[in-house]
Amino acid sequence: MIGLVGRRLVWSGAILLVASMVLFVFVRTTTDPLSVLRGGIPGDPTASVPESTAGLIESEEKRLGLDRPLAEQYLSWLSHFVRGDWGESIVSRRSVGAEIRQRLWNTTQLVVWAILLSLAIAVLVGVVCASRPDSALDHLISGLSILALSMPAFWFALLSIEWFVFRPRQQLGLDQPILFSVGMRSATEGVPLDYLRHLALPVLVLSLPLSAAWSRYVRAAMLDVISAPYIRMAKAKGVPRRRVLVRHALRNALIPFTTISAVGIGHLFGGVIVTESIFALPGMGQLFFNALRAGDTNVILPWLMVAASFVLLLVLLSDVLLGFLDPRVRSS
Amino acid sequence: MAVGVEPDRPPRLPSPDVAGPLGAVAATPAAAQWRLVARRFRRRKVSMAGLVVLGLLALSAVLAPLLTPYEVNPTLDAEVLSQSRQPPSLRHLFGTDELGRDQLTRVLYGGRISLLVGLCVALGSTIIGTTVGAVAGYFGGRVDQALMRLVDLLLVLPGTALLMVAQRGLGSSLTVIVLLLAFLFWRSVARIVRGLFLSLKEQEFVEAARASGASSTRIIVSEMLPSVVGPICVHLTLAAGAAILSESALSFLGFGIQPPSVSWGSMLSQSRGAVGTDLAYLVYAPGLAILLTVLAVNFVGQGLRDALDPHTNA
Repeated sequence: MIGLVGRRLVWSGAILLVASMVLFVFVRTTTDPLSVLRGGIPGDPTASVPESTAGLIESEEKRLGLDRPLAEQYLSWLSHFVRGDWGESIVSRRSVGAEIRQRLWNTTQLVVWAILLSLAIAVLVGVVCASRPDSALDHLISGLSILALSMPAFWFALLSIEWFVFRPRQQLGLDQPILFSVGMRSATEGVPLDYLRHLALPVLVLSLPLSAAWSRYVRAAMLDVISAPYIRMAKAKGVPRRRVLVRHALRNALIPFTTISAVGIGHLFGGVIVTESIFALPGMGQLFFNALRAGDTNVILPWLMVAASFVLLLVLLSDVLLGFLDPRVRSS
Repeated sequence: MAVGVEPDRPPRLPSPDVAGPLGAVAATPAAAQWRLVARRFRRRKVSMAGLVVLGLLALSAVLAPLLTPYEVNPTLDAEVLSQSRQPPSLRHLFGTDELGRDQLTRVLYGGRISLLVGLCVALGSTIIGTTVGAVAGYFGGRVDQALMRLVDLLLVLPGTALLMVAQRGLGSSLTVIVLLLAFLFWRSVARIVRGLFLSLKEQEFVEAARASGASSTRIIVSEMLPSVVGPICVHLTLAAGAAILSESALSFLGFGIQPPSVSWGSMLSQSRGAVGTDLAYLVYAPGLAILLTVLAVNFVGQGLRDALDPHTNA
């Protein structure tokens, strides 16, 4: 088990190193840290530079090392990055590291709740559907999951704000909505209920596509497993139905599912950007969105690195989980 | 009717394409297989409905100027502005926005962009993915290792965020958005094609082609590729749906299609503030259009997948 974790850690580190190179080149070639000085629209080469700032641009390029070769820039950036010196935001003049740390915690809460909710839904739906394949319930749920997968998440978010926040408030004549659509918590209250009222809708929006996709995978994996001879054997020797489904089938069905779920996690950050920008949650997604709109290029590269590491960490976690579920992975 | 239902099959009269052994002999084996697939596909009512809906949507997008008396970006004169904030009525089926623009007109024209993006991204990503997957699977070894590590790497990188950064740097023309999305979506088909090619290349017919001196390109393109057309078609449809969703999300965030061009996502971006006000009706039509399109595409994809799967009973 420790060997497995060790190997996956080394692999993750290697991927992260390559990712850092790709991301560095990508960000350096597509964004311009001096776009504010140049005054042009990003990506518009025809924008003219006023005479007076031309000298300033040159000296800034020298100061930031933008005139040096790309490889040299990368190495110097990497050595700073590894030592925790992530630069400062052009807009707020705060340290990017501190900014990200503060917001990462909010996003982690959002993501973890969404993953847990989606897992619960997926396992429940998968087991129920696979135990009664081709029943009316199975067809209903599979129709619903296609509907959820085809739903644009941001539209679902807008609708949920209209129907769960504004409408009930108007109809019931409350001075506070039942569920909030803005922010993480109220300034005056600190009770768990307040936390739930704020996070319920964002978590719901984020879990919608995730739970739908995962439900389908668990169902398919369960159906595969259920036709295996050892399940017939378990049934034949009189193991109760529920125990066969959960102990014998589910545990084995989760093995292929674990590898697939890791892939879905990569898309999570896209959902986080949309969700946080709609619900005004002070997390990583909002930080990225605001930084990009303001042309705050210093935030972007560290942000992408943290996002990639976050996804790698979740993939690592699912690998370790796989090791627990499947003895073959542990020994190989 | 829900997905995955095998509809009741009334007994049919033998027709040329459903005939028994004699009919099958008449047609070439490849044509017969495609007829079988088409027949299975036609039997799935949801998938056929999806195909019809898609056809209608495409037709209404193309014929938009004939279907609506209003302009998509009218000159904002007194007459247009006097029509602002009209809730849905017979004159304006989906109502009008703050500037008096007819929403039905904008949804129809928006469909042009959304459907075009879906189609182009699906084709582009399939071409890139199939090429990479075929090369990796056929040659194997180091080439395969290198290409698949690249796919692994791309899975870790936050795609949407990269798209947003690139869009900022490269501008928001339709071509840029299509290319960026195609670049994001090729991974899954590359994996699938690689897996199929790895097992295909061990088969006798490939060996025979190699022994008779066919070049690698020829073996890949004319011997092996025809066997994987099915899974590729399935990817094509699913990628189209995902591309439409991504484009609308990007446009919604302000990093996609920009005014004066109109897409369903950018319409929703403009009506964001309408939620919870009297203008809330603005939020429904563009979102429903996205949902309906993607749903139809997904049903077609699923029907195609089941029709191509030899395990489902014909």
